[in-house]
Amino acid sequence: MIKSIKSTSTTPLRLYEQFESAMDNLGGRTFLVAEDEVSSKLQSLLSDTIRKIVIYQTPLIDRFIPKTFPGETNNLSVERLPTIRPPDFDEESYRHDLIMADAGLIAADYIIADSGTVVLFGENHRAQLVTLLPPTLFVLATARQLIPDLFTFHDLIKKSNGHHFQNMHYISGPSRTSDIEKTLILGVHGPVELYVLVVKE
Amino acid sequence: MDVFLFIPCFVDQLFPQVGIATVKILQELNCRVIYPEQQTCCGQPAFNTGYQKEAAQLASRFIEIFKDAEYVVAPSGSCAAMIKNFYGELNLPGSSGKDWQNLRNKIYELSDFLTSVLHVEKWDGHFPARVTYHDSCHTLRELHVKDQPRLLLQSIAGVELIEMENAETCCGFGGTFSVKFPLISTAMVQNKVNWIQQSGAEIVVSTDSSCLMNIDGYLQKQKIPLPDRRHTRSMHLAEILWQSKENLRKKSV
Amino acid sequence: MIPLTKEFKKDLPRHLRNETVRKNISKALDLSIKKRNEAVAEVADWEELREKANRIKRQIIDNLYDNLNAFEKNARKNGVEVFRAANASEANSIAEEIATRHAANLIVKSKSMVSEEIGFNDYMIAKGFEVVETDLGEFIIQLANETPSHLIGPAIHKSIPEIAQLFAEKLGIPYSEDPKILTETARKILRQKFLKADMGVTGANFGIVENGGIAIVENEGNGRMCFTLPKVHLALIGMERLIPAVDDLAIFLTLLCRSATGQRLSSYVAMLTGPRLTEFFDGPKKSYYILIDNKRSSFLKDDNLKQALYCIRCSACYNVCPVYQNIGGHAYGWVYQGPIGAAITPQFLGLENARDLPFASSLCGACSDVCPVKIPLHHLLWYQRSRIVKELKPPKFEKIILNEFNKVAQSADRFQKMGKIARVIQKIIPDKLYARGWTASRKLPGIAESSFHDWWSERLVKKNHHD
Repeated sequence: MIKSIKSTSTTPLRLYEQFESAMDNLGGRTFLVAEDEVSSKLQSLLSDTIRKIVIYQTPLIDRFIPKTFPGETNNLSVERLPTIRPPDFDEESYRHDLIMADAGLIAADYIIADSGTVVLFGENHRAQLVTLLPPTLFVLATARQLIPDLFTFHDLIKKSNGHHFQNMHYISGPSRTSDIEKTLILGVHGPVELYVLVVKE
Repeated sequence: MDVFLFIPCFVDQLFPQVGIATVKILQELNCRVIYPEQQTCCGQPAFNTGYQKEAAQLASRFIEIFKDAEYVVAPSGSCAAMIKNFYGELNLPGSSGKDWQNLRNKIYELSDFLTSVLHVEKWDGHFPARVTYHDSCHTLRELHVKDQPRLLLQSIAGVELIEMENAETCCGFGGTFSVKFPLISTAMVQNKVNWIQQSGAEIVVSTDSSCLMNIDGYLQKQKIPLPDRRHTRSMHLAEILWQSKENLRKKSV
Repeated sequence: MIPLTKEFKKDLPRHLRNETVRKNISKALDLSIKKRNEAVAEVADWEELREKANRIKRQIIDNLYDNLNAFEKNARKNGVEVFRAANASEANSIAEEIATRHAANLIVKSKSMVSEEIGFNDYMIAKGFEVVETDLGEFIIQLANETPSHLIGPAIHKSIPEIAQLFAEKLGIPYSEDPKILTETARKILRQKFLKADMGVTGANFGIVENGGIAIVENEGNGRMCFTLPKVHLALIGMERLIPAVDDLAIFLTLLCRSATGQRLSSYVAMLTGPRLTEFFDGPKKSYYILIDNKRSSFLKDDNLKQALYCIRCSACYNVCPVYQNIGGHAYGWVYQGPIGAAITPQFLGLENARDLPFASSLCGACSDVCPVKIPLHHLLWYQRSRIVKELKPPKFEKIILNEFNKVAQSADRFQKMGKIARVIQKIIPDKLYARGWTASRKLPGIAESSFHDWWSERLVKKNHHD
């Protein structure tokens, strides 16, 4: 039961279990991994159909994703986007990369356990199409980023005065619709597959 | 204890047996029943049809008649709710308004009065039947009376209380709605009757004769039998309570 | 869309007769109600949240113009160009001007109730723009040249075979009843439109006063496409849609998502603050808001009606309404349907053009019970009735009958006498002459030979004789 009061007594492991359960219900997938397991986990998730991946580089990605992306040397094309748009940026080829990409990779700012939500603040999501165009989305998060619920989250950012950011996105599971006779279909316009890797620090 | 009896206009004219059963029930529980004979109508038909002024006239009259009561009991959630809640929408003149504020705390639908004020937890009676209960909208949503009638029904020896699907969905009466929009009203009562039939109950009970009039009217016109060929009957809560008591007396004789 | 509200009563038989549509809608609504109830049950303090949201909305609405000014100021600070439109025609002209300014030809649109209200699509298409609805349900409706029948699922009245047939005819694909294939088809077609579009038009679920941002709540991702890909983003915003602060999203998203679809949160919620900053890779280069009045200010003037402006467009009231369940959305004849539609349409279109809607309800109150922002919907329906009675000519005999009844009801003697007379009349005159509405489908109860009043008096007489 959630209540609109901050709950503080849950352990990170318990929160992760909640997050996992929510992700399951949403048709997304999540894994709890140790720091040195990130690479191998990603490798195992990169199915043969993923030939091209675009990564939006932010500090968390730098920390946990190796300089050479798993599988990069064998037929996997990896596009790396810097945190801030460079002066010589070509929008056409950026879009083209994302249209052709099979997967995107980005780091979360927070993850909300109750609703299975990935929170992306504008300053860590300046390449928004990375989480929208490719059919598969990988999100890197840490266990420390786990928050029990939406109320606790907003309580937290209110206290830390975190409203200077441009844009904020909540992503809860794959894209979906029930518009055709209430039949649930995943992956309408946004990604159909969503993986969240939660790193135990 | 002195209990003022409020008998809705249509109960008075169409279903007096409901009023009679109510009197007997209250007297059985040692209440001194006072029926102010000047009462006529609380104004709900005019109110529902949007006639504020006309409704207010009857409201003022009603308040005047009942204002000194300590308890007002009605065998109708709809009419009790009219007094308790909807009178607040009318611009009642000065003293009428004040008297209403007082009166609205004293008015009860029958089952609520029996359980909350007289603390009846079990009804001594005998009535072997499969019974389902229909929540009248005003009883449920305006008066928040939901468990009380069920408690009383369930406590009658012989009653098997079956919960129908969508007990809380409106039966489609809605006063003048039923004749202004008969097609919609009929569609709604058709649904309600389907759910009653599906429950397998032989009797549908409610706190409101208005709902029962609608449901029963449809049942009778359509001559809808139960799967085992018996006809579903409708009974007001007061009727089944009193009948069950009489049955018990006959049994013990 | 051209309102059909005046034909409400006349068109009812047609809507009620369609058994297949009624069954489709019924199944969909039952599921929606079930999911909503489950999601609400998870929230321990749901009732307090409703109360809190009601208070927040009341504050906003009671100070709407101040809030609008603050919202506009903050939005401008972010680089958004903000317009105010007094009515539909102004809003559409401004939109046209914006599109023209940017030489936009192809416009992609996500779901926006206010855009339907102002007739945006028809206007812009008539002016030569290509307007493509990108929400799957709206896409289906647009293809079928129909109007939506529900707020969240505009195409719930359509069966899969109908949609399959539609896609086969209009999109040239082989006939398929597989929802996955139908969705995939729409995805492919719409992706091309998103990538080519010159302008993206969305609504806004919430306008945030504190920072001039807007929140867009969706599941498909088409909204995100509309406000990220095209170089111009236009948000059409009903001027009542404000909330004070970003952190009020916690309460409003919780109430909205659980009430609308039974979700804890929809797949995508975006809080946008404006056009792309230089360090962003994507996003619109220009952002516009049009804040639309279109009769909302007339709601403000009325203490009862202004509560209708709290509405967050969740459609929970549609789902639980037994009238809506039986007649479906199209019967309401305009954009807003169900209980909220019946309450506000007379104000938007004029009492005389929608006089039936507030009466087409049993006032059961199920709507008020589920409204996440605690609008007293069934009270508003009653209130509209009283306004209609006061301002319009009543049906022929109605006023006379009610006045006569009132006169009679002023005296118990007269009332009882009237009952006796009525009983006799009932025996003589066939009831279908005066009560056909009832007797077409129901048996009319007979007036009792002896009223309760009679029984009581006789008892007293007997008692007095005994004493």
